Parts: sequence; structure tokens; C-alpha cells
Amino acid sequence: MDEQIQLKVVEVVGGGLCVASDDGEKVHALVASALRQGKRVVVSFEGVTDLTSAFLNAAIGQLYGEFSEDYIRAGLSVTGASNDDLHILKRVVDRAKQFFKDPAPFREAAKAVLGADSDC
Amino acid sequence: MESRGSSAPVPSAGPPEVALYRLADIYTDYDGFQELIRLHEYVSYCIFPGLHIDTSFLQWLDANMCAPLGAVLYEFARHGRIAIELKKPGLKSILERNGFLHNFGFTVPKGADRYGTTIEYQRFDCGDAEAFKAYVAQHFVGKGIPNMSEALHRKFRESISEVFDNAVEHSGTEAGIFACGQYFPKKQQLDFCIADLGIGMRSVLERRGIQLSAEQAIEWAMSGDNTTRLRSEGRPGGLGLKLIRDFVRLNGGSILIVSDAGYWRFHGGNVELRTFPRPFPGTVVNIEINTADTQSYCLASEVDPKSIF
Repeated sequence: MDEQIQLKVVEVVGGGLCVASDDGEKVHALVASALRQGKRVVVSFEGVTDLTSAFLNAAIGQLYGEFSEDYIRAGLSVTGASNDDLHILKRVVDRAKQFFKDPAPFREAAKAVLGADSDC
Repeated sequence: MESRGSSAPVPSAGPPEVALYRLADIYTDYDGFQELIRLHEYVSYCIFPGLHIDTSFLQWLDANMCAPLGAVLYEFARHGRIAIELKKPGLKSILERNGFLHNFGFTVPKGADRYGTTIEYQRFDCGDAEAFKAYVAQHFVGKGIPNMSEALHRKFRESISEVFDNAVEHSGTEAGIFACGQYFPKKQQLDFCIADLGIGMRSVLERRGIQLSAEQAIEWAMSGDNTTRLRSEGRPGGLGLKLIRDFVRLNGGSILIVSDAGYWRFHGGNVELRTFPRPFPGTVVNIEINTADTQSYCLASEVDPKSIF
């Protein structure tokens, strides 16, 4: 990965409200395309005023369905994000890693709601 | 006072072929939603092309509840005529100021929000995230709610955006998404409500082979890292509502969710679960926040950007 690009999310989204899954999809398409081409991607959150997990799931989380953790770690970095935004991003990333390793933990979770002896 | 609601569609003494419904009080609580469920059943079985809503017994309507009220009346209003009795000045004022009447096809002008306490009633097409972003920007960016810190404003905006996105993703409705809010200055409280006419959380889980009661389905959606998404769908989900729960706990506010026949309310660290005898035709999320909260909401622990991935 020699070539590096910087991707400013406010430019992709058209403003600082980075809240909708659809907007996250736009960011994801660009990041995924660059990673497929073997480029390193710096995602800039400079100018972001609002950020949701829905946006980040679409933009970043779903990368773990296509690329390995090692590949993403080597090719992706972030800049310009506040500490709060990084916290949300970290939770989204951890959730995505778990999700793509164990995609259907629903029944166990449902049992937890119903009680340990239940069989849904 | 008469019992809440009317039991069956009946012709009114007014114009022919108009059903009469006596609307009871609508607070943001179990009884308020019970009344909306009664109204929904009434309009669902109404054979008349017109509906007259009698508000003579109405003592109170929480303005934020215009979101689920508008959702309940939406289908009927598409093919029928709705008249709302507006003799009470307070009610008329509220419904004019928040645009409910205007938005619902009534020939009244949208009233001026002189007190800056109204967050407009609006219906959004499910695919129109841009319209909701513009709505949020209009009401909560810049002027916003007085005496509310910017950190709180941001957390609130992010929360309602998460709820909207969740409704878009999961409701499976063509009827759209309904939103409305109200700021109560004396109580230093902001209520914002988002409603859809979708399949509800219980049915979403049922389609994944999980059988839970309606209220258990809400609890499931609000707990842990649960998500209904499958890997084949390509993208994880399931954090938004939990983040809101964390935020509301810190803020001292509350979340109320009604979905299908389930009632779920989180306040003061406790969850209240109840069941309605009949289902609500979709899902409603009401977020109530303490606007006097001055916490920074900045998390103390530093996250190293290099350790995220």
C-alpha cells in the first residue's frame, strides 16, 4: 500500500450532519473502492458536527464484511475526530468485528431476555 | 368525565355519513397510547367517509404526541375527511403552532411560534433522510432550545437521528415517519416523538425466527449488542438505541417505546414493561430530556485513533 488518499466525510456528505445510513453508504463506497485498489485511506472527520452509529455502521462497520482486520488496520486511519466520536467509532468497529465473526447470536440474546431456561 | 374514547363508529348528529369520535386526554404515558390505540381501531373499522373528532372532553394533549396521533389518522385522511373540533383555544393554539392542522390539510394558517417552544409536526417519506436532516438543522442547530448546552443539543440531535434511521431501516412502511416535539420551559424538559406505521419490533424478530412478546421484543432491541441484521445483509447494526439509553440515563431523562402491543419505558435506571390489550399499528419512540443538564458528555478515557481498527 504505497499510495494514500484523504477522504473528507463532510465533502462526501455535503455537510457536518453525518447521521444517515445512506450518507454512510456514500463514504463506504469510496473507502472500499480505494482499499480494493490497494490504497491507504485517511478518513477525515474534520468539520463533522453530528455523528451517529448508523452512519458509522454503514461507512466503516461493513468494511469488516469484505476485508480482513489486518488489511483494514494496515490501510485505514482516521483524523480530525473528537474523542467522543472516536468512542462511538471504536464501539462500532468492535461490534462489526464481532458481528462478522458470529453473525447470528440472536437466539442466545433472546434467551437472555426470556430467561435462561427458555427455548425460543 | 365520560370514559375515554368511543366504543364504536356512530353517525354524528351533524352532516350525514360522518362518524363521531370523542377524544380523551393524551399524555405521553400508557393511558395516552391506549387512547391512540382506541382511535386507531375506531378509524380502521369506520365505514363513513368522514370523521368528526369531538374534543369537548379533552383536558390535555401533549403536543409531542401529535406524531403518533398523525400516524393513526394518516391512512383515514388519505381517502376520508377529518374535522377536529377546535373550540378550546389552548388546543387550537397548539395544533396551529406546531403545524399539525396545516400539515393535515386543514385550511388554517400555520401559527407563529412566539414562545419558541414548538418543534413542528412533520411527516417524512421513508427514503427522505435529507428532509429529516433539514428538519433537525432547522429546529436544533443555531437557535435550538434556550438554555440548553451545545453538548446536550448535539447528543439530542444524534439521538433523534438514530431513531429516525432505525425507523427507516426496520419499519418496512410506505406510510412514512411522523415527528413532533415540544419544549416545556417551566419543567426544563424537551419531548420529541417519532412514530411509524411499520411492522413493529415483535414482527421484525418473528421474521428472524425469534418468538417474543411485544414488550420483550422492545427490551431485546434495547439490550446488549443485539441486532436483527444478518451477515448476508452486509452491514452490522444495533447500537443506536443503546447509545440513546446511555445518554438518557446520564441526562436524567426518559425513553418511552410503544411497539405493537408492547410498552417499554426507561427512567431513573429502571425499565417499566407493560402490555396493551390491543396493538398500536407501528412503533413510537419518545425521548424526553432534561434541558437544564450542563454535563459536557465528553468521555474521560482517551481513545487512541491508532488502536481503533
